[in-house]
Formats: sequence, structure tokens, C-alpha cells
Amino acid sequence: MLKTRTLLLAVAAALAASTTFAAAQDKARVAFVPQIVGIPYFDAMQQGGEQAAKKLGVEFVYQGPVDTNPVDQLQIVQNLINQGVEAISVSVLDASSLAPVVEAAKAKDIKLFTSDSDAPDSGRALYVAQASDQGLGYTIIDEMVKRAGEDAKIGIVSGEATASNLNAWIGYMQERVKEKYPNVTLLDPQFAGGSAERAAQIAGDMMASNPDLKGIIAVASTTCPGVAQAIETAGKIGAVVGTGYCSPNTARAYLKSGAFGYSVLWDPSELGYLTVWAGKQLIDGKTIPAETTPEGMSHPVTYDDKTGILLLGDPAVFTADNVDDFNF
Amino acid sequence: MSSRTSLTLPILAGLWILIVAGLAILQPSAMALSTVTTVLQFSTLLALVSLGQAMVILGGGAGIDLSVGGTVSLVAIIAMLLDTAGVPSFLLPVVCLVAGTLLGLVNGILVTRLRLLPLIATLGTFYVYSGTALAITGGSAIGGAPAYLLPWGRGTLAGFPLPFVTLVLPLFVLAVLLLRYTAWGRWIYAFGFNERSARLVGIPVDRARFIAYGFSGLMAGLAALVSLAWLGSARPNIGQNLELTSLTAVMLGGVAIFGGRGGLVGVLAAVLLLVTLQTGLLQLNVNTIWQVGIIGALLILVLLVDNIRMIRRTA
Repeated sequence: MLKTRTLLLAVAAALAASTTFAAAQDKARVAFVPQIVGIPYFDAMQQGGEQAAKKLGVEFVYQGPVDTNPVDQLQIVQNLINQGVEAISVSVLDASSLAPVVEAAKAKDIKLFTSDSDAPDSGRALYVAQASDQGLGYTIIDEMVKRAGEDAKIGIVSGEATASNLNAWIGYMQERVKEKYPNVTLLDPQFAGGSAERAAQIAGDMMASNPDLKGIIAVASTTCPGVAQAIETAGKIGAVVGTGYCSPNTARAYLKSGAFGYSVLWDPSELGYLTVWAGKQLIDGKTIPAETTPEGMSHPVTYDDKTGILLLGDPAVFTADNVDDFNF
Repeated sequence: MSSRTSLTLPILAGLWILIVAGLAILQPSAMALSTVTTVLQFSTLLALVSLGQAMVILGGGAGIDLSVGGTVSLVAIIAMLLDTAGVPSFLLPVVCLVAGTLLGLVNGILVTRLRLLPLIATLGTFYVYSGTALAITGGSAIGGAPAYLLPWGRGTLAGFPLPFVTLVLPLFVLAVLLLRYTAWGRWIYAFGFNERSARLVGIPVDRARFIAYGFSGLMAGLAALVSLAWLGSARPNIGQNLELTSLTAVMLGGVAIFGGRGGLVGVLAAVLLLVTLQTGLLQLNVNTIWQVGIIGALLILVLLVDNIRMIRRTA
């Protein structure tokens, strides 16, 4: 009992002392909350964010959940708000997951915005988009048809069934096929969660049950290795064209082996850079022009004032020929 | 059993004070009312589910409920589907309670009637429940929770989230009283501790255990209701990981995994400790991957301290 009391006293003393040296932040802080930490894609965004922070004179905070769990993500965002971080960007796991904290952020005059994955109706300040969802969905289908033919049967292996960005891309793939390639058969998407093994299993089953399958699209970057390995182990290189939204480093081996015909993506480190730049503009209260080349970037980006979408640019297509020009 | 509880609580309280003191020194700005609100807000779902989990585990017979997370997800989805299908909104809380209880009773039937091992039975229903929730929604959230729920789900009373004040605290008090003063509560401890003798003296073990699984489902249903009122939408994966975190809280709270020993106050203390620790580490911007490891180490440490004491005592 006595011990507890001394401890309580110590805490009280610590509390009293703490108020006297309240931390003074000299630099504005821009935070980015990814969907999950520890995967190369978000690591690259983190690197880009750090570069931008150095260049633009802000402090960069990178904090994300270890599972793709919306409540864990919400908890992280809530704590950043409590800390009073001036601008907070989130790669939203679930389109409605920001709702409870948007008001709290506004009350503290914190700029809450989305990057990489959006929550359109949440009241977020703006959305930093990697490439338009439409551009990504259309490009991957167009490139696939070029390789697999106008009457191909194509399968889709996605990641989390709840990820709004992945679902949007799939939607545009389906739209493109319906409008432009009436003879292409697009199978219903299968969901592998965050695991490459599950993706391999799904892709393997897909090829077994559809002997006439001509192509498989890996939607989440985590599903790329699984799909490629399934094509390799099934001995279907050349017969089935694999592809996905994955980085050159992830796809390199498969592009060279022929399991993947191509890969579609953008540069996530550039996206991280643009995210921190956008946070800085919001903190400074600057309006973003319709087209501008941010300090430290090599190409212009576009901003749509009406939708609040800041677009990084057109998606890039990586093939065996150009993959070695990239390193991310 | 009371001597065990009385040691768990001081350990947890000591650790909690240590964490708060550490946070006060390293990140003084965290010492704000908003931090208290955040901790309690993120404790609510876990506390409710852990309460149900604790009941099931206390009841022994290798009792465990791995389906709690899936139950929370599925109940939230069912309630919102019925709501959008035209069932009057004021019935939504009732739907949550009934659906949760029924899903819990399914576990009860599997365990007490069909004699499946609880670990296997509830692992099965975990996959069925969470899989069904994902399948019927195609993975997307269902928005548009009734507006009358939101002021309760998001509101605070002097910094304390309303769901915590109006649901978690009363329910824990009620459950403690239930365990202490009703026949059913005493039976739980009795057959949790020694099932054979309990059966010999004529305690209706199966019926009481059946109710315990129903109670766990009811708590999960309440957690689903809180999630709807708080987030404003039903998520097919809202309950993700709750089965493991609730187990952690129950173990950390001093409930013996084989049942029959431990108390509910310890479980609530453990929930608060876990969420405070998470919040503290987040405020310090500690990498979340480390956080998982730290929580694991904490669990082992606390159980180890407890074990050493037990060994000393018997030696």
C-alpha cells in the first residue's frame, strides 16, 4: 500500500514537472499513416516522404498498423491528432474509417487528408492520387489484351476484399472490358488477403479449373509473387500472361522468367514525396494550382479543385526490357 | 482463488503507473484529457469481448471462444442489412443483442451437445462467421447507421466516452455480482475448477456452460452495436484480431487458462493496461511492429512473475 502511494506521488511529481518543459515544436510535422507497415511499397513511400521532409523543412512522422485492420489504423490517426501533428495523411483501409476522427481533427485545426487510397465523402482536405483509378484499370486491361488477345479469358487475384483502392481498380477493369472488349471474359475477382501463399493457391486453382485461361491479374502488390510463382510451377509460362500492380523490384524476376508479361504501377517514393509536399502546402495555407511542378520533382502534377484530387501522373508500364531502369 | 486475483491487480496497477509515468516524462503533451478519452474509446470493444471470453474460460472444460471477432463482424453486418432492408431503426440494438446471443449459443450447442473441443468448435465458427460477413458484403462497408445512435457512440461525459460509461462499467459490475452472488456464477467457478466433482454433486454443468457461450455471444453483439454507433458503418472485418487480443487480456488479467480461477476486475484492468500501453507507444511514435512484440513480452513476464510466486509458495 505504501509502495503504491510513493509511486502515485512520483507520478504526480512527474506530471507537475512535465508541464514546465512542454515540448516546443519548431518544425511543422506531416504524418503519413500507411495501410500496413513493413512491406516494400510503403517503405518506398516512407523514403520519399523523408526526402521531401528534408528538402521542404518539415518533420516527417511515419506510423502504421501491423495488420490491415481499420480500427488499429483509426487508433493511430486518433493518437496523431491528440499529439497535434499539423498535417496527417492516411492511406485509407476502409472508405468510411475516417468518419469518427474528421471532426476531432477540424476542432484542432489539423489538416487531415488522404493519400494512396481515398475516403471521398469523409470531408478530407484533399487526396493525393498515385494515378487515376480509371487510368490504372484501363491500362492493365489494354496491355493484357495486346498480349493475350481480344477473346481471352482473364482471372483476377486481389488482396483484402475491403481495400477501397483495389476494388476501384477492379471496377474500372470490368468497365473497360464491357465497353471495349466484348469478347474478353473477366472472371470474378478472388481475394487472397495479405498473403502471397494464398494468392499462389488461388491462382493455381484458377488455372486448373479454367484450362483456357489466358491471363491473371494480381491486383494487390502482395499477391504478385504468388500469382507469378503459380504460373511458373504450373509450367504455364507463355500460355498464361501474368501481370499485376507491382513494383519493378517485385516483378523483376518474373518479368525476366516470362511468368509476367508486364507490370503496371507508379513510383511510390514519388507518391510519398508528393504527399509530404501537399501536407506542407496545406499547413502553409497555400492554394495548389491546377498544374504545377513541386519543388524537387522532375515532372508536373495536376490538381482538380472540385474533387480535391492531386494526381501524380499517368501509370507506368514495366516490361522485361525497361525494368532494370528502375529501382524501387 | 482470491489470493491470486489480489496479486494480479497490484502487478497490473504497478505496470500501468509505470507506463503513465514514463509517458509523462517522455511525452508531456500526452498528459491530456483527450488521451484518456482515446484510451477508453479504444478499450470499449475489447473490454466487452474480453468479458465474454473470460466467462467462457472461467467455466473450464478447455473452454475458449475463438469466434468472438467473427461474431462482432457478422452481427454488425446482419444488423445493418436488416436496417437497410426496412426493419425499424429503433430495433437495431435488439437485433444486435439477439443475433450475438444466437451466434454464441451455436458455439454452446457445438461444445455441450455435440461434444466438440471448444478450441476446434469456435475456430470453425470463427471462420464461418467472419467468412460469411465478408462474403455477403463483398468486403465493403455498409454505411448509414441510424443517426440517433451516433451521439451515444461518439459522445463523451467529462471526457469519458459514453459507451464505456453506460455499457462497459455497468456490465462489469453486474458480471462481478453475477459471479459472486448467483448460483450460476458459483457453478462456473465450481465446474471450472473441478468438473468431475461438480457433476457428482449435481451441478447442471452443460446448461451453465451453454449459457456462458451465449453470454460471450451477447457481449460480442454489444461490441458490434458500439462499433455501429461509433463508426457509423458496419465493417465486415471490424472484429479482426479481437479473438487474440481478448485472450491476451483475459490471461493478463489473471484468469487461469484451465478455468476456475481468476476475476473479472483483473480482466478490465488488463484491457486498460493493454490499450494504455498501445496508446503510449503510439504517442511516442514507437514502430507498431515493436508494439506487438512488447505486448507479447509483457504477457509472458506477468504470467512468469505469477508462476514464480506460486512455485515458491508450494515449495
